[in-house]
Amino acid sequence: MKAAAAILAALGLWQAAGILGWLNPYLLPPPTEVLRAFREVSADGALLLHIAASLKRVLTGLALSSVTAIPLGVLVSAAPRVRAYFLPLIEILRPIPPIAWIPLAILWFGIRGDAASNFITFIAAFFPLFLHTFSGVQHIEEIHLNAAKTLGAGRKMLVLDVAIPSALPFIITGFRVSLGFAWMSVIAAELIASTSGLGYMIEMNRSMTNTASVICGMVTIGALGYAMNEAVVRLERRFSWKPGRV
Amino acid sequence: MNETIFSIKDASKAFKDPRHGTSVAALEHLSLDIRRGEFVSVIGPSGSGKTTLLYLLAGFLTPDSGEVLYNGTPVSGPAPERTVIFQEYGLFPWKTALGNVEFPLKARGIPAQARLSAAREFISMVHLSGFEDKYPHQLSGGMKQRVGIARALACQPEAVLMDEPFAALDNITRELLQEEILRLWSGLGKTFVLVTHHLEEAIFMSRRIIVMSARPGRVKESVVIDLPEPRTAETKTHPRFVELKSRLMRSLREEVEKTIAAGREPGLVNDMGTIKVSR
Repeated sequence: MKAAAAILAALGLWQAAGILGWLNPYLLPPPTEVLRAFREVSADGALLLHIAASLKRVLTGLALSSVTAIPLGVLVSAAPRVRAYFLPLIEILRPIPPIAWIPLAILWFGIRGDAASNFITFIAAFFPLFLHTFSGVQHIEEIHLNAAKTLGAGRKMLVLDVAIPSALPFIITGFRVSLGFAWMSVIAAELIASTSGLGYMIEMNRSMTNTASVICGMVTIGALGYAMNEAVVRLERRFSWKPGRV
Repeated sequence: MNETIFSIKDASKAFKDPRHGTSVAALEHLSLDIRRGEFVSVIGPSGSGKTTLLYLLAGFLTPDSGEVLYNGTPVSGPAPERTVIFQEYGLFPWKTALGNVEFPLKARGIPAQARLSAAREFISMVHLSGFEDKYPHQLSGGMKQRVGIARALACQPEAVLMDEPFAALDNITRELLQEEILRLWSGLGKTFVLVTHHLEEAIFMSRRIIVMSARPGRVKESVVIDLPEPRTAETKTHPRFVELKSRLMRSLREEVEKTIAAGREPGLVNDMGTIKVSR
């Protein structure tokens, strides 16, 4: 209720400022203009195509990072000898923002197609997921490990039946952080290194000073980001075994 | 049936004190034999190395010197044939009661279908049928420990090692589970080793009690509990029970007093390392 009131009030002020002529319509068109642009880009299905393109890249990057970061996180956590080699490497690569990889991605994969953007979302999603998995496995309780061993668990069961489920609440949180990172990064990648997607749509409309469509793209990004986060929060509640959070 | 299942020979174990970096001896030159099928309890003041002793048998710890033998071969690590029931249950919170009991069956490579029916069988042995699909946080303390017991039995162990298994439970639940364990013990013919600080519990349940000396832990004495069988609720009022209790109480008190005199009793010592005046 309060959220809706705040949003409506902000929109009202924005619209009023527009009607009163306080805003330069080229720089900040009023909400009604944005709405008109919204109808325009969705009428011919262009918006949906761009959304689909961006989503596909985010999901591809997330999938690629899931199949690499989760096993690697478990391995690095469970094997101290591997950890000594991997962790320094990862700690050096981690502070590099995903967008700083974009020039390299363009050189390696070119601007056409999805490869460059997929690579950027993969980089963005990898580190949070890896670190959360790593620390989740580190946080296994001693008694659970002892219990598993005294019940006869071999290496495979220690990983699949103890380490991963025990770390699952951490892994899902990591997944949520990764999704947010990947979503932000895909837009940045598309601004520069793509010919489709919401980022590309924004950049194309900017070059034509079609500001209302730029804002329309931004609002779409915000709404979709919010929706995806909510979806993962639900997933978290569903799959997290932590009592009290169910 | 009098062959030795566990044999500890002259074992010593010390731990590093994390605050001072000094080494504290938990067990010193401890020797002990446990026969197959025995029900043995280990009692002693806190810090006498009761849990250390149990963890040596379980294979969580290895002695600094001396030997721990299981069926004549040195213990090299934990194994389901010598499984452990923990004070804090040690149940996997991400698995249901059934999932927890299935765990050791899965570890043995039993196929899913057979595993399921076997696990249900073990759950009904501890009277928990109907709670198979509950998660540990949905169960009471006593029910959790029943799952713990069922899970240990599912290991088909030769020996069951229990580390204060009833300490977190209320008195009624504690007594019910004591009787339950005794029933299982006499039915299964396995070796049970119980670490407890609860003297009556030790007398009621055991055929032999090992009294540990104050730190560093050693076997002070081994007392045969010659009470009439089977043990029932009346056992606790039997004259022999009362006799054994006062005799063991005296023995235990001597050790507790030594511990206090050395300023080591955790509950009685404040942060300055001096003995509290109260009590």
